[in-house]
Amino acid sequence: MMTDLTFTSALEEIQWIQQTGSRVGLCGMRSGRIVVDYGSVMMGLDGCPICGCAINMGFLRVTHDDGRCVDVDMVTFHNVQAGHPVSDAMADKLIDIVADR
Amino acid sequence: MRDAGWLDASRLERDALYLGLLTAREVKPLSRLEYSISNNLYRILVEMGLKLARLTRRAQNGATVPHLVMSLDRRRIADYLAEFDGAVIVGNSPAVIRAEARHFGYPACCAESFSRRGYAPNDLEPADQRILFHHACAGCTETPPLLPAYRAACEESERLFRRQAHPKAPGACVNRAKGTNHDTGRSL
Repeated sequence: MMTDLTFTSALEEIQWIQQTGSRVGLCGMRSGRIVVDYGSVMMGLDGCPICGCAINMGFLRVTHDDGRCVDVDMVTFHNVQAGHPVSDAMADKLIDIVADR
Repeated sequence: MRDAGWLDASRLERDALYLGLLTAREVKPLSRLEYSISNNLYRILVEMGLKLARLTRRAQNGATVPHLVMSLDRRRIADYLAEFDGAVIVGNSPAVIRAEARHFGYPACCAESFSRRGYAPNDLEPADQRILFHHACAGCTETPPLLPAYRAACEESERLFRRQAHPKAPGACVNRAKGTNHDTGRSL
């Protein structure tokens, strides 16, 4: 799918859906055809090796109604927010899903 | 990016109370806080019987990062400090994952799985995985027996947190005959 969405803006969309979407089940938030499930965000924190900030452990699962699914490690949100290098192994998949919501 | 609100002060205070209870009940032999806590919360942890120690880690950008560790056993704290005080944070290397699992009381099988496969699917209910501080491995036999103690500490920490945040809220123990709020010790 052709889209102008960047990895950073796709992550921002995910955060926005997680905060403002309509609740689905115990830990899901829906917007359009996407559900962001935060049931795998853990209690524990870890220290960012680059800047030392406390960061969440676990991941958000982003699922499209057509079955596509991608997990976004919570570390990724911190890395983007802090301007650290980001592993974008799942970036294309996330962008495709978010662009199609 | 906007702050997702995962790490607000309220969440951190709850987590610290929860970790304190888990440690005071010896479900976890030692726990680490990666953030500062209020004097009041520090006092509560000490009243649980916990020994606390501050240490400093170093980030790769040169920042010094204060951490706090707590345990019922001073030797466990000394062991942790000997290994990590002043050390650079290197992230989730297999060696660090194994060492932290040993210090924090996580099953070795889960540490091995996490070091190799990260957040691989496991057999736990999401609600159970959420209250843990480690990611259970698939087919884990050591984590499920821990869950009742984790659930009990989680519920108790919520009660404690509400009582700290709202000492006169409904449910606070009030002795009307003596006119004293037992939670705050204040006269009514």
